[in-house]
Amino acid sequence: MKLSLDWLSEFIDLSGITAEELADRLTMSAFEVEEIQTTGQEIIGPLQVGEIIEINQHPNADKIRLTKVKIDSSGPLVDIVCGAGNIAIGQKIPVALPGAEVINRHDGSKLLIKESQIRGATSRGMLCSASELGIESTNGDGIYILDPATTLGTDVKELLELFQDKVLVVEPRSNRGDAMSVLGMAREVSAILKRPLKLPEFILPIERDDNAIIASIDDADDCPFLSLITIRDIHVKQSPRKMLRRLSSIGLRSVNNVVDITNYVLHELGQPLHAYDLDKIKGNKLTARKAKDNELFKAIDGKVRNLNNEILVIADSQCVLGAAGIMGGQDSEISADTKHIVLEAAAFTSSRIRRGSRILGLSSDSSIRFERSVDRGFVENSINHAASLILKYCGGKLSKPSTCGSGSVNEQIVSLRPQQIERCIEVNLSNKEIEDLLKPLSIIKTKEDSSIIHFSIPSWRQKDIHREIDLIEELARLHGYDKIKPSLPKSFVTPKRRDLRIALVREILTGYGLSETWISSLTSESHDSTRSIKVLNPLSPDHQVLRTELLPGLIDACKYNQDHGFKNIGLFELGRVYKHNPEMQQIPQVEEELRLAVIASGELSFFNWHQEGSAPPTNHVDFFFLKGLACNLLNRLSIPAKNLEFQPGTNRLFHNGQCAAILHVKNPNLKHDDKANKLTPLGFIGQVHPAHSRKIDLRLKAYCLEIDLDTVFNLRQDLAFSEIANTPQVQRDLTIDLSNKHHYSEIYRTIKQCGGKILKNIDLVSIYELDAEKLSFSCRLIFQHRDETLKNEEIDKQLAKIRSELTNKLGASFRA
Amino acid sequence: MSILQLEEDLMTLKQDALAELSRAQNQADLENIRLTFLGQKGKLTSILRGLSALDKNDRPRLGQVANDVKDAIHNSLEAKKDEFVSKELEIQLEAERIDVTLPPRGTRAGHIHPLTQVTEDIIDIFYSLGFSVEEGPEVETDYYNFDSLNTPADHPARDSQDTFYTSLGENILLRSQTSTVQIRVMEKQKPPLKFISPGRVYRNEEINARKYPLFHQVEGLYVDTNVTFGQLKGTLSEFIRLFFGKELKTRFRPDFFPFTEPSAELDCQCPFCLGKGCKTCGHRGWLEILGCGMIDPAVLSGVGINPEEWSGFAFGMGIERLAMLKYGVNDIRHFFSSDLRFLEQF
Repeated sequence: MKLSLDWLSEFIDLSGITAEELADRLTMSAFEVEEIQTTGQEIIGPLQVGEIIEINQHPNADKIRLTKVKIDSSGPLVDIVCGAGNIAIGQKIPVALPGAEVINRHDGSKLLIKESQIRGATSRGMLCSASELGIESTNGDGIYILDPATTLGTDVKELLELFQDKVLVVEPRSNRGDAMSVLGMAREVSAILKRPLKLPEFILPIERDDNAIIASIDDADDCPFLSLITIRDIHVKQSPRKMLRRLSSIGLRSVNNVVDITNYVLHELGQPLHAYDLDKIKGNKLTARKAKDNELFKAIDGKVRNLNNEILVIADSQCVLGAAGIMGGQDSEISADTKHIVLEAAAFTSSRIRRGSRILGLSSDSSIRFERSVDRGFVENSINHAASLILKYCGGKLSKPSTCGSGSVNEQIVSLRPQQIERCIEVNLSNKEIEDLLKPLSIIKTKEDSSIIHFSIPSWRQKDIHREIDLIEELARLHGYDKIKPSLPKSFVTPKRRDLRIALVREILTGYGLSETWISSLTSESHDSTRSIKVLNPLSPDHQVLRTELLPGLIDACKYNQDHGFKNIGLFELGRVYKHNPEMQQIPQVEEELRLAVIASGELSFFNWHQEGSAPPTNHVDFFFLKGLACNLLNRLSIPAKNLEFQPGTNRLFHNGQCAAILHVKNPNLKHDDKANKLTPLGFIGQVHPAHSRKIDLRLKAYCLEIDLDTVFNLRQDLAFSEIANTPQVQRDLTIDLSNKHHYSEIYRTIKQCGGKILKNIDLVSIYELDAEKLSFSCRLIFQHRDETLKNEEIDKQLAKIRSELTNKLGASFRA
Repeated sequence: MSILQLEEDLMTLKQDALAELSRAQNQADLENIRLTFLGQKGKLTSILRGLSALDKNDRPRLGQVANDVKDAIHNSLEAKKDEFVSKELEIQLEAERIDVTLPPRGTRAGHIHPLTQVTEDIIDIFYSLGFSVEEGPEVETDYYNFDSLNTPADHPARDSQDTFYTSLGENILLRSQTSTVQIRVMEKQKPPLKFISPGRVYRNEEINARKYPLFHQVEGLYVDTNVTFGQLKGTLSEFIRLFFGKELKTRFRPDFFPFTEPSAELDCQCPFCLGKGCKTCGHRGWLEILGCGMIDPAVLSGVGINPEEWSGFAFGMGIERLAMLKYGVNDIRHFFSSDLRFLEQF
């Protein structure tokens, strides 16, 4: 909201206060001033009203004329050379005399007026155009022609109000509709500066006829009060200079004197008003009612809109003349030909206007005020003020005002216990200080009991002040937040321990060369349409559903970086996925799971330079790199390796032949289907499906995993120490040939099962392809007994058992 | 053979050995010298054979001399050996010298997202001030997002132009503020309560350099007996000092939020220009950091906490905003771009 200080000073004495000081004070008392603007140009006199007495052609120039101008009725005529085409003898015009400073109309710079010679002719001043005076005008570049009745010699600066004004750009407050006007801000400034408010009188002339348009209300819930004033025989013309200047200073364009007055009063008093052309009204009544469905309405912007019964309108006996509180209609707007008018001011409820404004997609200075609530107790004052201004500047004859509903509000009393102020803000105010702080806001003490003071709240503040705490807030800001002493809480509350596991995950993954990313959880589509949660009012098709998995976003991120020239990409995201679960008791029926997803491609290393002659080091990301990462990560999250299994799996995002489901097995010594055992899926790991890569044009071979971290965190096992064995370890190598139909996990499990307690460890050393159907696995087994040194015979016995079990179960053979 | 002769032989032997040692070139020479003089078939042994011919009374004395000679040769030999070992090591080290200015190899560490770093900073600071961490759901009911936070039924924030509603029902929305967690925690736990709640929030806003339909907030709350506005000021000023790592002026400006009263906006002196005015602070000298206030009594009674007995303060800040300030990021979209050229800077 823009606030002109010249306009503000109409209501309050601002002498001795700079714009900057005022801006600071307002900012620190709830009305943040975002900017201080300067409007108008700096014009310096002497600048006086003159009359053109004589016009002669310049002897040496076609377009230049020599004028003689009278400024002082008794003084000599002044010779002034003028190039404008619109001058005539007898005109009253602004004359800048030597020493004056006006504006160079060519470049906006300052123009100092001096006595000068123009092609041999002497000029002792300048006749000024509007642009040379820094004001707007309708007669273009010509000399600004003044009213013939203007007195000679009048100071043009005062006549045309040629001075600069400071305008504060104030951030509007959603709960303070009352402050969206010059008057509203004046009330605040009065309280801040402790200077009295100057209010005009809102009285209409007594002379009035009975021929008025009648106000009527159909929908009293949405319009508790409607007021109309009919004025006939007015003159539509340009508004007075002061009004133009003030409207222009806050960025409003002039339309005509009637419309300008309604805007002027809206910005001055905060009450929206509308003026109708009486001749366009059918019947003798204007009614506030709900629109009918499909009723049509052409607003002043010229667009025809289809209404419905959620929109409040002002209508005559036949059609809609305006969307109430939002915008008037084109058909009944004030034009240059308008002779008679009806002024309307009303109290509309904020929710109805907000609703209508949203439905119509229309917002106006009027609707934004109604949405924040307008003071019902001030409607009549405002319309009276507007009618007085119309009678003053447009002429006309007044009819009796017509009102419907009530323009007054009930008294609202709020009680305050002074000790509560101290409890809240640690400031001890006496009852007298409390009263004095609130009084400038018209919050007046009505009664005082032993420890309670009762205050009456003015109509314009009843919406935001109805409880004790609301008064405490007013007192806190008027006393000054900066005067409240900062302190620290006196008691200590022991915080809960921080869960640092997620931070640990980040540290581990960055150690692997992966960088963390944050991806939008709103996405374009979800493959799990039965469980996905859609946004009803999405911003765009790219943000219409909540993700049910992290990987698609991460794969897209990989592709994005590929397209920006990266070949080595390692990314991870820690984030939530969201799934609808209709089985859930609580509302919303949504499971929000914390997931981890990783994607990696290429080499996650520094550039691996090498020395000529030695092999270049490679560490290309592959499935097993990622598997190692998953194992290490899960181990660090307290899931032992023995409880983890990677089973061949399928998932639409993964390569069929390079995908594993990650499982937690509660008891690895029991079979999976044993009742005492429990399998928990933790996620998937594998290569991105080539078909998916092709679809999005991801040309890099990328590996990824997604893990349900909430599940992992719940599986955490406590660690326990086992005594270190000091007996020697014995290493035996075993080469196993068998069909490639079998998985390594089968070999591992078989060896593990019959290796007995003395088998400590199995390491795969190498794999060799014997032929198209047969593989050879070389394994290194480590044997150790807890308490004694193992004898070779014992180990041989165990190995024989392992061999025969591998042969029996898997058809393995062994070469000598 | 006389004892004198033997003594002289020993001395000669010692001199010969030391002379040879001084000429030794390497460890192999040393070994030869050791064998020649001290070995089982060496010169010392052969001299000592003559010992048996001596008078019994002379033997100890000569034995002593022989031992001294042996020790002298041995010590000198060891010293020489040490000398060679360290010399050879030196040669080896020189041969193994590498150019340490060659570039590194091996895993290049990844980067932690700037929003994580800022969130962690904020959590750390408030933890040290006694605040726990609580979390809540992002898909919420309008009760937790609005009603319980004292937001009037016709408040503009409830519009679908501001808040995302979901297919789960007209009252199920994507939370537009982390203040929802205040209510959820206050419903379940008894005061005193002191926690912050970081998390993702959503608003229906056109994407541009300043706005994104989702962003992150940290909400904080403290409910206890005798919590005052002064403590709010003190606690948050302490946060500013710790977050920016320097003493910065703060100011609390009155503001309005439905769920706090009195409410304030906290500005801090711009840490870049120290209040002189610069591009970051829009030449104002102040930066808006967060919104805060005393918890509205209606919010407390709504969750069954008696506002006559307890009072509290609450605050909320935007993580993206703080990260943009801290790192000078000029476009919020960078945070969600997954662009390695951005991520690798942190």
